[in-house]
Amino acid sequence: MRSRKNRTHEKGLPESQDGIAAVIGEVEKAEPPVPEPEAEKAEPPVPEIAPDAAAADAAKEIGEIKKRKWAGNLIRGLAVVILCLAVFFCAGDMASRHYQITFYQEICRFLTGNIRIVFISDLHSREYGQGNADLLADIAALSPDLILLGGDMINWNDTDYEPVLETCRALTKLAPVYGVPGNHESERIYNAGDQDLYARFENAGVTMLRNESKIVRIGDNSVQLIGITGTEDGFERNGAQECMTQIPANRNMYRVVLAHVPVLFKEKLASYSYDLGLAGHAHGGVIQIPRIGGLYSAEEGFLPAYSRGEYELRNGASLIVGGGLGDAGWLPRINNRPELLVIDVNWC
Amino acid sequence: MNLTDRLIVHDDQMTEEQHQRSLFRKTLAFMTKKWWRTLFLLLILMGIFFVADVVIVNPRSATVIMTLNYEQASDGLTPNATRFNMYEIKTEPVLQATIRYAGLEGRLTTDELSGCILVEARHEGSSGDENFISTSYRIEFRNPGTIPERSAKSMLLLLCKAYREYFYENYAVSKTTAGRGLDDLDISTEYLSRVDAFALKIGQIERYAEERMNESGDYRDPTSGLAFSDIRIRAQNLRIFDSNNLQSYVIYNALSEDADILRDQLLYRKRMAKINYDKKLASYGVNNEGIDIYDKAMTSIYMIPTINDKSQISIYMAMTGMDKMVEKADEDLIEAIELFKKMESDQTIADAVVSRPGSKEQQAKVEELLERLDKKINVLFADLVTMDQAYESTHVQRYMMFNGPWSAHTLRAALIEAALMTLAVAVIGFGVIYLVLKSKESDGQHV
Repeated sequence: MRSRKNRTHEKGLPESQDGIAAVIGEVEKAEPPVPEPEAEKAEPPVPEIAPDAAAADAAKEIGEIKKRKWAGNLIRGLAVVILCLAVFFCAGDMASRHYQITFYQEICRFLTGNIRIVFISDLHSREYGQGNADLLADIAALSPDLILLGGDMINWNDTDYEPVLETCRALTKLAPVYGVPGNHESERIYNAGDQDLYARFENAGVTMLRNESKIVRIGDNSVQLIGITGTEDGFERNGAQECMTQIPANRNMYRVVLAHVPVLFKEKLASYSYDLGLAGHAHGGVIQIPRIGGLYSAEEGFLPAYSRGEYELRNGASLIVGGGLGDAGWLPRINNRPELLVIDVNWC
Repeated sequence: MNLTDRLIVHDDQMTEEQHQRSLFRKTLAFMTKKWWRTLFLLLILMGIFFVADVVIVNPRSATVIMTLNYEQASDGLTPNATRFNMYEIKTEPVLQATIRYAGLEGRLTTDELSGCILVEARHEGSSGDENFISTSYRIEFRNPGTIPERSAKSMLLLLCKAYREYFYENYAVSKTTAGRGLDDLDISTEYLSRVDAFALKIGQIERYAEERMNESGDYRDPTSGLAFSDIRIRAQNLRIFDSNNLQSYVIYNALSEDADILRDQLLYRKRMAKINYDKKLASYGVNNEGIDIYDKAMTSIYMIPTINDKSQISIYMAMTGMDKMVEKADEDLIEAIELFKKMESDQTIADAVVSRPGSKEQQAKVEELLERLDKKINVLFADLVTMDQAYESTHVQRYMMFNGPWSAHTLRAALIEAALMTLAVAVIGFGVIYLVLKSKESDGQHV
């Protein structure tokens, strides 16, 4: 019934006089009574003027009410749509719990053959299949020449991270594994007192690069791996700057800088010479907004510059930031599936 | 009584068919009359969800534009001048490589992958000429849905990588000096033969560098800053100074490992030269004889006027048979003189190596000089190879450029797909309501 009424009022003309009369009645009720002069009382009534004006006012007022109502409905509708979209994307991500494999193609003319790098970051002790069997099977099928770990493989408060070490042991059977520690590894060492963490990873076959570089021979080619730890605040103090400065300017090998925190590349590492930077940490900005990027990262706040994907640095190098394979907090990923990175360095 | 009321009038006298039709109308009227706002909102929401799904969450296809940037491309050829066929991207080697790169061996067949790839020539910039050959192609990859953890973009990237490598291997790699290595010419231990072999190697490098110079004279290696002209100048210096000086040194000092063997070799070479010398002299004599007996009437100069496609007139002087014979006689005489000089030289050296052989010190020195020359040639060749690899790599990148990939769905296509899905859902919803009303009616309830 309400809808029928509204439709009648919208037209503003007395198609149905009941509604108008009711409104007029209300308007008359709201105004104080004006006493009429006696002379005018004697004259024949002129009913058209006052009721018409009142009807016009009423119609105007109804129009405004209607507008407000539509605006309210629109806002409510939009809120519902946004909520539904969020639920939809979230449900989509939840439904596809499995990671996606993202491929990147780089070119280096120093090389005489192709090199395939698999980059794993921010696993946070998550398992894909029993003992990460799915992850290991996929990596084996991808036939990597080199496997790099971008940090945060565990959570700082894990009671046991043996499954991650077991995964690392399995990875070393597929290709040489090198890694840098993330903030969770550092917190575990310095806050939880796990002094053996690096040794345990080293025993599992992972070469941990802590502000140092290693040259890896792959076929006829050499790749120089430089692992940088920490954040931009401690860059000068923790030996990272010294490490970068001491790297020889030998440009006949492909040079990869591995760091956990992507903002380090922008702030500190963009002035050095290398070909590729790899980082994680940002978890894709938690929510990936289409055409904009990540929503939030701890270092850069809202709309971070580096959250997930490939970026070009000032020195001409490429920086690839992984969305990570796991999560440490309760925030749900929206439109931001976990990802395993595959970087093909091609010679042509 | 309005239209809706008329639609839902129930008539007990209706036949079964009419009854069904009436129920259908009732359902339609019921929905349009009472639920239209809700339905409208739901349809809009569904539309938005489906558009979001198609465009953002699951972009099921990706596209890339491939452009060929080499001279022969506009003739429909590869850099090797063989016929270019864009559908080679769907051949077994390329598809197998793509599957291998994607880590999908055993999970995806080449047939399935081939079905996901669409290739079409782009005709942008054509002049409308029917014979226009496109050098730009659009490659689309449609994800079959069986490989959800690899996006269409990723698969397309891997396909492009596989095709680029296939193209490079089959059509772009030059099978020339730098790729093969220098010829193994060290067949003799004699100093003179070794010097000759080095001279040939230097010549190979020089010619190769010159060929590359003609292709890209302004090319410079980004690392070393060297140009192919630099390599050629270094080779020329090696030939003119190092190699020639060494040869003179060996000849002047009559140096040899084994004097008798060298003498035999030189005399054999002289005999071969003598045969050629006699042939050249004979040819010279025949041509001269031909000139003498040539008919005087045939020796006039013929001027032939011609007109080209720009209506420009030019006049050419036609050569007669006698002109050819004169040229040939001159060539033969010059070559005969050269051969005679060589014969004289070989005879002189052959006599000298026996009568006044070089000392041990001189032999040691020539060994050292030969070794030094060998090292210089190897360094020069290594520089050439490094430079050539960089050159070819850069060239191949220029041969084939890929622009993209990006999600192939245009908004229009996404809207159409979303509208179809929405329509499908709406039809299903309508069907459900229809069945509910039907069951109610069969239970005797008034609808």
